[in-house]
Amino acid sequence: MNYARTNGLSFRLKHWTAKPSWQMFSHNNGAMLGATTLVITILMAIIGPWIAPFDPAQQFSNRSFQPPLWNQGGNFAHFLGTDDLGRDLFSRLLHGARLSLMLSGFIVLVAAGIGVLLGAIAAFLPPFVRNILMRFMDLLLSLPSLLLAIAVVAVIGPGLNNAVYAVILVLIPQFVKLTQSSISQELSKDYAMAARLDGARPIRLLFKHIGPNIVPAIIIQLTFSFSTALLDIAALGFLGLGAQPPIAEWGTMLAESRAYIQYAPWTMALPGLAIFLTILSINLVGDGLRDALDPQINQ
Amino acid sequence: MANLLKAKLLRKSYKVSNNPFKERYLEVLKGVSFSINPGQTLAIVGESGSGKSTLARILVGAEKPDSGELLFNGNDILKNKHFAWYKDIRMVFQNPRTSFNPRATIAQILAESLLNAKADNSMQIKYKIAETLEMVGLRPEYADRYPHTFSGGQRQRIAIARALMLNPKIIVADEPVSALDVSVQAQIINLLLDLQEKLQLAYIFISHDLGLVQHFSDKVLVMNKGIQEEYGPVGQVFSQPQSQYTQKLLAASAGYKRKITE
Repeated sequence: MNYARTNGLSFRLKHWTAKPSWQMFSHNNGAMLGATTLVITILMAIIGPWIAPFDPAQQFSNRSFQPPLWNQGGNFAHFLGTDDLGRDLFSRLLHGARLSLMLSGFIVLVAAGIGVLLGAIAAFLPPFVRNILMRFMDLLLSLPSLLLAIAVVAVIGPGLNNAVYAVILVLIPQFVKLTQSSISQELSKDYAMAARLDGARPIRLLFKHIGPNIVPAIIIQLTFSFSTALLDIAALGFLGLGAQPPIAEWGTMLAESRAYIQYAPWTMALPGLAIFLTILSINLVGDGLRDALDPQINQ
Repeated sequence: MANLLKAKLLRKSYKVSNNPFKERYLEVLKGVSFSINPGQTLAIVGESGSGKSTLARILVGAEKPDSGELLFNGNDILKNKHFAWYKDIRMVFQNPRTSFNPRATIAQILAESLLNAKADNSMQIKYKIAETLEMVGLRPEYADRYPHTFSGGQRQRIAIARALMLNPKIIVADEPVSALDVSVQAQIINLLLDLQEKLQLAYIFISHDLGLVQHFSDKVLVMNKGIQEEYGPVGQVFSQPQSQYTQKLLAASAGYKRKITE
């Protein structure tokens, strides 16, 4: 803390606030609910392999299509039921959470890192070069993200790794566009000119003055991109282009069970519900973070 | 005696077409000259689009003119090849709502120029902030608050404090009171007058309000579409306007005044 006393006063000089206000966040019921769900999901993903009752790939050929506990014929051993090959759904969901969350987190961080860096560079490029870069990004954005991911995977071949690269590539343009446009917008405001006239050099202007003002926009984009990544990875798995069948991954599980939706709906509903809840909680947390980061709202 | 600041035939034009084969330029300033001494106030008046704000941006170093000279204490400050930071000429912005970073506290906003100047340690900077806030009539405790918690008048006081942080000789104020309530305008003007007396500041004051200009300034520069229409002591320009444009401007202002008094 950079607190020091001057004539009985204390105020911060160098410690700029990028910290969200916990008070604001904790009063936002939706955000708290989302955060709780998310923390539970992440915890489950971490300790999953230890609490999972069965191996996710272990098949019990005599126990296929056991319904979950609350349906008629459910039993305690497989309390979320089993799938077509008699694999325990709860164990598969736990292992799938690990893979899905880790992959989406990795994808979003890499895409955001590259995208924000490119966007920040683009904002300071000469107009001609910037326009070329931005039109290229527009080109990538003009295709639906899933279609583009499918195209990329079709070129580099199916598989989980390639699906990850494809989704990263698909997510980058959004970050570039967002960062570049927010920086240009903030640069045109009076306070940016005031900071320049106060002698702030471009690097300081970018990180100290403009940075904190575009962070909320990037956080919102991060949460949206996280859900897009989760969905795209799941969708690629669903199409057979991402995670390959023996791997427990939510999208792949969804895909495998689509033939049995009428006979055994839980095999599809449970992974779907897991994806839905995770994305919902991430979006709620993102909304709450945006409000908590804004000093104009949280004082 | 050399003037504190002397501008000679400043010119500025902007490119208005992106077509590389047919370049078109808009001349915003067509040769503006003036001079100012310590403790004096120069008012720049003119209608919207007459180049007043461009002139202000050139004077504080945010933009470079295409040609002309800007002599500060006899040195041409436009000759600096690199980014010149005019520590002696500072600006007060028109709109106090947009001229502060919403995510910085008042202390951080005020400290910015001192931190970049690297002249003081943080103890001295804090002392200076407290002192300057008191000078503009605010309590030093306000330094840890965010800009949006202040009223328009208070924010304009903070803007003046920011301009004062580096002990400048000249303050360029781009319509500093036009965004404020009438009752607050008078307070800010009086504050500016007090500071001028105390610190021997020179003001370059851009305004629409001719009544205010008459009361406030020593010299006046009338601009119309980038042309310097008239330049001289306030009494002379207002009592015997030479150019037609000045006459029209004064007549328009008088008509407006008569309307509200009726």
